Amino acid sequence: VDTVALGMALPLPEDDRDVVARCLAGERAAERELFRREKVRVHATLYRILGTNKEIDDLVQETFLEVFRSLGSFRGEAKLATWIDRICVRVAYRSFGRKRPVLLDVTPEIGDDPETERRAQAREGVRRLYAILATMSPASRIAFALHAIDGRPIAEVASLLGTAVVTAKLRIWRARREITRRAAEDPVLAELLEEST
Amino acid sequence: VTRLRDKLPIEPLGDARWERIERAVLDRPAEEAPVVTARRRWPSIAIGFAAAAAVGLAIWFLLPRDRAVRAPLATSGERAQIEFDGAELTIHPESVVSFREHEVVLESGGVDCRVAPRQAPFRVVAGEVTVSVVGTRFTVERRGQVRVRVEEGKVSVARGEEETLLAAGQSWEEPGPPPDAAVVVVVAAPDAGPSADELAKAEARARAKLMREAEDLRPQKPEEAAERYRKLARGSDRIAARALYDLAYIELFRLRRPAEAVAASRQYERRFPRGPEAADALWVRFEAYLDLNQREAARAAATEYVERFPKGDKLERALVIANR
Repeated sequence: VDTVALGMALPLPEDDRDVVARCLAGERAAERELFRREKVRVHATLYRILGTNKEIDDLVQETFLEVFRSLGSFRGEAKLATWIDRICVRVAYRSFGRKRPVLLDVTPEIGDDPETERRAQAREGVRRLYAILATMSPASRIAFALHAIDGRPIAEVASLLGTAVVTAKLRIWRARREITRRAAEDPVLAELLEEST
Repeated sequence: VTRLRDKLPIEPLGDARWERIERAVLDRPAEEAPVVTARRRWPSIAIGFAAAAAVGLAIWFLLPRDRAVRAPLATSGERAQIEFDGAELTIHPESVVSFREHEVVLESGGVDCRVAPRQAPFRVVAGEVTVSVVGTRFTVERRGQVRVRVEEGKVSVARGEEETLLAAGQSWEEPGPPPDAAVVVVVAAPDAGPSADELAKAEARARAKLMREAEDLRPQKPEEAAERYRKLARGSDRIAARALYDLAYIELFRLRRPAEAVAASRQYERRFPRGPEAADALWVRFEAYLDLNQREAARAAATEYVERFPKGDKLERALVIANR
């Protein structure tokens, strides 16, 4: 059981305390350290949610700007990484509300090589999956991406979205039901899901 | 559906994009500085922070940043060079200064100031003397009485009702201890012409500031960011190249204007063919052509990418388009 995701306070790791204190003291090196330490995870989380690197630069930037702007309000009640993840999710959520969805534009690669064909098929499946997610509400889309694609426990997803566990479960279930329904008519998507189950 | 994660390998962002993001985040404007709020937990950190503040303060000011500074600085045996509010300051040894908005308060000691031409006044307050400038180089000392020495440009020094105009090479000394309520103000004369070097530095600072503004506006106000990038792209320096690429990027991905993105990308190619963003500008172009449904042009641009940038981080994507 992920106690942090369930909202239970754990002792904060010493390196988290140290880097936060130094950032708050205005130490530029500490800000750089925090940025470089967290950037891969922030990018990965946003990538799982969006499914593409298009426009991701601005969201990564926005996430870190909010992290440094809000660092004074970080209470150490969750791990720093979890706190940053929440900001990440908020930024993604806001971005869905203000622009039309970006769809992956992947066309199967041409070639006789079975491996190339298999990869092309998988990429096309991923594209179709995100195209369906783009039609859903931001909350369902993010909940499904964090749980089913990024592999996070439902309790953590609920914590990141600021909802009850049952609400997160419901959103994931609805998203999955819709994807499964569409997969019944779409062999490429069905294959992606089948191999992943 | 439990192993979808493995089906979606994360495409790396590439060094150039990470560099831009890091710069935008770490060089954010002063108002983005973290705000320390009352802490319900972590009392030990608060105490540690307070204890470290005295030592850390000097380091803070020595760092090359352009932030509003609001805490005093004391030097011991050495000079300290800092940048404050767009001015370059050299704090003399054994000096104490504090900072307010557009103002340096000289409690004791001395300070050399190099202030580029500017709109907002910049002041040095030394006891009852206030020095206001709009672009010049001068020194203010406060060791008992206040002394002002002008090295470039002209300044006027006002103390109470008295006002004296100083030209480059002239100096002024406070006539005896100041009366309780007297104020001496030193203001740069309007015709204090800046040198070519000062103008160039001021221009560079203004462009860097405009670039920071554009990067700050990008997430929420892409149209306003684009306007700033267009202005910056008119130059011929490193910033112009970066601005042109950033313009192409947001025209395509934020403003949904692929034709404008193609134009910006082509301009980049013409003016900065070996620029650090050349590969990314070409990537934006073939993506823009796809958006315009110009498949042939997209394929040609993608092929060009494959040939010119075989180690580029968009190679895989370019290959897909080139092979269509």
